[in-house]
Amino acid sequence: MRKFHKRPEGSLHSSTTNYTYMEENKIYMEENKINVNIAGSFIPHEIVVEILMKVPAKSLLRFKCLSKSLCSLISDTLFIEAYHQRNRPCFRDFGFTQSINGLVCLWNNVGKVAICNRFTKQHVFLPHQQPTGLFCPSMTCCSLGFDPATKKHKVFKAHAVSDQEETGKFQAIYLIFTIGTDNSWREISGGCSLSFYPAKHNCVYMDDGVIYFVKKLGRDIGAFSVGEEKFTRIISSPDGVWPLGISKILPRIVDIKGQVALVDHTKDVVGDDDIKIVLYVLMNGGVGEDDETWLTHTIELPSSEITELSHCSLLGLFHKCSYMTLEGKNGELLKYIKCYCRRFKVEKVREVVRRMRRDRATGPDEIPVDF
Amino acid sequence: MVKLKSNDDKEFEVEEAAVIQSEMIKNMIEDGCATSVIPLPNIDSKTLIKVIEYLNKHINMGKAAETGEEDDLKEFDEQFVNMGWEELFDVIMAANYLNIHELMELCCQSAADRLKNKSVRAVREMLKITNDLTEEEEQEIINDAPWAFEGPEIDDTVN
Repeated sequence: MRKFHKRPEGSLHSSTTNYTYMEENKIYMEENKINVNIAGSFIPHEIVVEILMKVPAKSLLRFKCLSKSLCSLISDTLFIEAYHQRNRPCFRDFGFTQSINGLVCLWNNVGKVAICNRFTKQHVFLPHQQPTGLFCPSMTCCSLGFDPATKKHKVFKAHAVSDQEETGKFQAIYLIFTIGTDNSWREISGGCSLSFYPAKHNCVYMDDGVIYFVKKLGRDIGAFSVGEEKFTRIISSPDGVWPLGISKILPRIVDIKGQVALVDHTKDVVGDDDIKIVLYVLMNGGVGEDDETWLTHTIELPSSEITELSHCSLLGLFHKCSYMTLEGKNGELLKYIKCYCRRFKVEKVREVVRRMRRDRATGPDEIPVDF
Repeated sequence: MVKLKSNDDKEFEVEEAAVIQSEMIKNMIEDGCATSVIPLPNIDSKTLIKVIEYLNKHINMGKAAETGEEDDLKEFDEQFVNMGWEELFDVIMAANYLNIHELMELCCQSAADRLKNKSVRAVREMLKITNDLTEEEEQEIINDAPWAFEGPEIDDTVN
């Protein structure tokens, strides 16, 4: 803690400073009330707070440099909390994230997309452009990609729309947006075909400049080239086990050490059966696309370790890594790397995820980290 | 009509419909304490005139939407906050004391809009803030979030 911060030591309910929360998020400090000398006269604390609440976060961080009293006010944990409550976190609506090359893509089911740059701490909301249709169109797939030729990042998304309510027939609309170039989403020509339609949030971007996804129909793997902006090919699903697989739930597509892979698993544990997780890794012999084969790894987890293996917990797969996370019965995360397992406290991970979702990540001195 | 008295002993007559936008005076009237002149020891006549001007314009705010006077009101608000810092703070303090929520919002928003994106130097000059931080302390704050001190939007002009 800096010596010139007048923040209460330790807990929020420090005995030396009586804080009370009032309805409108105003902070009242009965003691240590910070009056700020502005324009030659003392401006009461609550008025300074009221004004600062309306200032953007970046300006606010800069205004810590104005004076000691303003610095301690802006650094005050209760002020920060009230600021967040008043200024609703802008990433609140986004439930899904993905990142490549330091760019983070956030999106939700209705097709809102935001891009954050981890290095410049800037963010941009892409135009909220929805295809029109009678049935409320939902976005089922969204992925960042990198075009190696132009060195541009692009966002690919797929919407399902139905224009005839009675028939309930769906059309697929595919849109692409080049970050830093486009002002609006561009529809991918030759779209409207459902034959490439991706299953819900089941895609992965690989370093070869291709977005791979599990197809909703046929359940093969589709490939979309980010550079060419077109669907390039369909990879047949692993023989024998597909399309039903072990479980009725679609397997997850993941990036495992630079290889496209699918993870399938038994859904529920019945009796004393051990849980089986099957990993199919797409191996390329090097000759070309014809030389691709699925390599199967089966991971058996003793049922004593996990009471329930739900679909949700498998969503917690760490893309880009060679391990996956599963929730264990004692509220812990079991982290498997093939058959090797490590344990993490689930609370710890949840806390971090929660803070990130609420856009409440804070720096070492509890100042909000503004993207 | 309600009579208000400023701290420099000037009396102003205001319609009740206008003055009850102040929660404080509304409560006084409801409690029957506003039979004679209401003294306002914190507000000078110059500021009180401004506040009354606002209250008179904003009578029956709800009706404005129906009669299409919204734009007119918006234009008035824009003109109204076009004042110097000291005057603005006087009005804010008066609005806070009289508890006129809309006026408080309008003026605080105006203050925030003038301050946002300004450089530290510009804000210090605009608000006559004395820097009591040492150079090291200032540098420490900058080092914490250097990105907050850089960017094309940062405006060093004083107004």
